[in-house]
Amino acid sequence: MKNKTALLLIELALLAAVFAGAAAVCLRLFAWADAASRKDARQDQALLHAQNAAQEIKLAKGDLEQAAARLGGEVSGGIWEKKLENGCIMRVESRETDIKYLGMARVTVLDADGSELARIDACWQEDGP
Amino acid sequence: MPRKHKAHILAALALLAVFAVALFGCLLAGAKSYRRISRNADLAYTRRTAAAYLHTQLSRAGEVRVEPFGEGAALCLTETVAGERYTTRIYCQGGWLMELFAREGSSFAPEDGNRVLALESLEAKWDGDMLILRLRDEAGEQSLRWLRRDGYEE
Repeated sequence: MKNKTALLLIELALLAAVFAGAAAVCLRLFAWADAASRKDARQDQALLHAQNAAQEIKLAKGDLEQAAARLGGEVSGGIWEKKLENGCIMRVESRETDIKYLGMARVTVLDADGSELARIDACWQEDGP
Repeated sequence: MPRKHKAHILAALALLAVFAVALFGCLLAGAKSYRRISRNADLAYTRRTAAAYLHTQLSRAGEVRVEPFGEGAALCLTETVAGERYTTRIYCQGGWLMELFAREGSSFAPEDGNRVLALESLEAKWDGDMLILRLRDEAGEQSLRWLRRDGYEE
């Protein structure tokens, strides 16, 4: 009888240990899914900001100062940077192209940890001679 | 019943109780997490779809105008089909983003349009060649900019 009870206790303890392990894995997965969902939302926002910046850059035909004056942010060293409300940073820089009269700028949105959330190349036709 | 035996049974019951509480806690955490993720996904869907829908409609449009219609401004996208001019009006009405496609000059009420997406409000205004749209939904406000293509006049 004594042995039986001890065995039952051991069995229950083992079950509890297995369950604790499974629960730990599940909780980690929940946290990971939550973080992924939040990152997804930030990515959507980042893409929208990048699209808006690309439109402004096209309107300004590559003039970063003019685009920054309309959309906000600062231009320094040929790079237009704007801090977004969710802590991300949008960076726009002009790029050279091999095609004549084709202007191009790269819009990048970086997460607070520095990882890239969105990237868009905006192109426009430069004024010819 | 001997005292020792009673203690063993109590210990087993206590373990079972811990097991049940932990199981319940884990289930609650999972349900909470699922609800939050599902809500985020729903909001993201509305935002992304509204922005993509407006972008697509504007990109394929010929002439784009902003006119008062429904509960505020409506985007009026005009195109010519078989020699006749048709206008697609996109506007907000009763908490919905609506679309109304009709021949130019025909008189339709804002309620006659088709529901596209749940959206609280849509504001549209031209700033030179840039069309600035402000969309308000459950999650807040977002701004969308669209540059008029060359060759079309306001």
